Amino acid sequence: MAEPKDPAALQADFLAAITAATPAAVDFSPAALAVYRNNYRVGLEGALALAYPVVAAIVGADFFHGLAQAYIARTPSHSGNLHLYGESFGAFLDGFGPAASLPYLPDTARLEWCLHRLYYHADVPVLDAAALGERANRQGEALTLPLSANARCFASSHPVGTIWLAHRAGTEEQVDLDAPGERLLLYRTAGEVDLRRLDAAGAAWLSALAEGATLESATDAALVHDAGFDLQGWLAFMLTGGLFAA
Amino acid sequence: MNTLPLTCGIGLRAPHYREVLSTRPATGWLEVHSENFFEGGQPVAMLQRLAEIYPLSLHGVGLGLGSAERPDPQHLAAWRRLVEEVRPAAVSEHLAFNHVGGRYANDLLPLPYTRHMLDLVSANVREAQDAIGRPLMLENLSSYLAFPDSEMDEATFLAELVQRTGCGLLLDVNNLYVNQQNLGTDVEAALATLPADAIGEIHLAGFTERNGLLVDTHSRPVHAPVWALYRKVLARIGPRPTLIEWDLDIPPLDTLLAEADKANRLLDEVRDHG
Repeated sequence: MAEPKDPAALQADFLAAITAATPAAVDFSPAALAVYRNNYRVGLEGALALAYPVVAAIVGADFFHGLAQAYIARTPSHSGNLHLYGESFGAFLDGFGPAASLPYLPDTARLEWCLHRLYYHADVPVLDAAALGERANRQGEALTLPLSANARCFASSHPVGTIWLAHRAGTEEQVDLDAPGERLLLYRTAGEVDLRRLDAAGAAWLSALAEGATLESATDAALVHDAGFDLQGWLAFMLTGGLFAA
Repeated sequence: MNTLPLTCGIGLRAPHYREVLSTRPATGWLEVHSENFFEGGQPVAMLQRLAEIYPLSLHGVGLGLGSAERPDPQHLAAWRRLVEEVRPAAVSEHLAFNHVGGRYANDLLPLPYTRHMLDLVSANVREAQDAIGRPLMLENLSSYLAFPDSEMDEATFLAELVQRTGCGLLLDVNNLYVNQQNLGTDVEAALATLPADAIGEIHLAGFTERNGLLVDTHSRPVHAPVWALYRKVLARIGPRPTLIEWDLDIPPLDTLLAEADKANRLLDEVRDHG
């Protein structure tokens, strides 16, 4: 009797037969292989649909199916956790000819991926008001307030924040898709993800803090854009939302 | 091995999370897919609330312990954290292959049942059990093909794993039936081979027929021949915590609970006469 094939090599052949664009002429029964090939594609498309509901709504079910299958054909899964599949979908859309008439689609996808990751990431310690007071006393003018993993700045040359909010509200038909780009704060508070559109002052303040600037210099950067920048309001928003790192 | 009650619980999926939390239906226990709660955030917070109300079983679908390669350390770490956070009454996984060379199928794929694979899978199971610091139950697979290289049947392979690693077994009766129909698996022989003491849980689900194959879709009520096989299993090994699984075309919660009631009546019969 022949020595059994090396298990890893056999499993690699089996997986290749499942993922390949066209099923190779292999030892596996075609009917059985068809079940696994279908499971593979349906499963990954389901993961994309879960992570990208706004992209799916924008393009419609049939187009999304084609889009998802084109992506799946060239993007292997690298984890047993399906929630981690689809990170490069936005980059894929950059070069996807059939969607070229929707220039805001790739950034909409990137925005959705950030929110998807924000929703699932592990809980992190955050700064509360008491700890802020202590840190302010300790650091004085050198006080820094880096963002926690619950918050992320996001920028696009398309109005993707408005698009996302409109889909949530069911008012997407009123969105001016040619409107100017937006800077956004994406965040998770009490388990729910949300976003806030930023004016120039807010964007300057948050991106400076995110990069490790002192509160003082970040606030100076905001005041350049808006002499009435609402520092107290922003501090309260960030603290109650758990958006500063502990 | 586990502290699940000897009743029938339900597999809890996303469409019913809120309803179960707010109405707290009378079901003996709940099972969820571990990977849906990896990392953190609201899903884990919800699971911790559920774990305060019901005995909870964490059923993994993504570790791929039947792979020739070792389990993904990141997956193991996320799983261990979840086990620590919810302290489940039971932890289970599948005897299935899902990854090689860093690529994944996100499915439950069959493996050749060879002595070489047995060594590799034993090491994987030990590594997984060491990660969570407790034994896990391994589920028999529904399969649509058999590898000609196999040197033993799945039941013998599982019995060997029990012996070598101290793991328990999760007996999926629907999978047994599906394999009997698709691959001609000898169910009697399998039941005679699987160590009854190691079986800590039973799964029931519905299949779909596709191109002459019974596909384990978990999209239907439990079929009559599977109920009959379940009765036979209970008569043979006695009552076990049992679960109704439904993953596609998920029906209203009441339909799931009614299926579980059917299983509970059979469990009661065995308890009364067994």
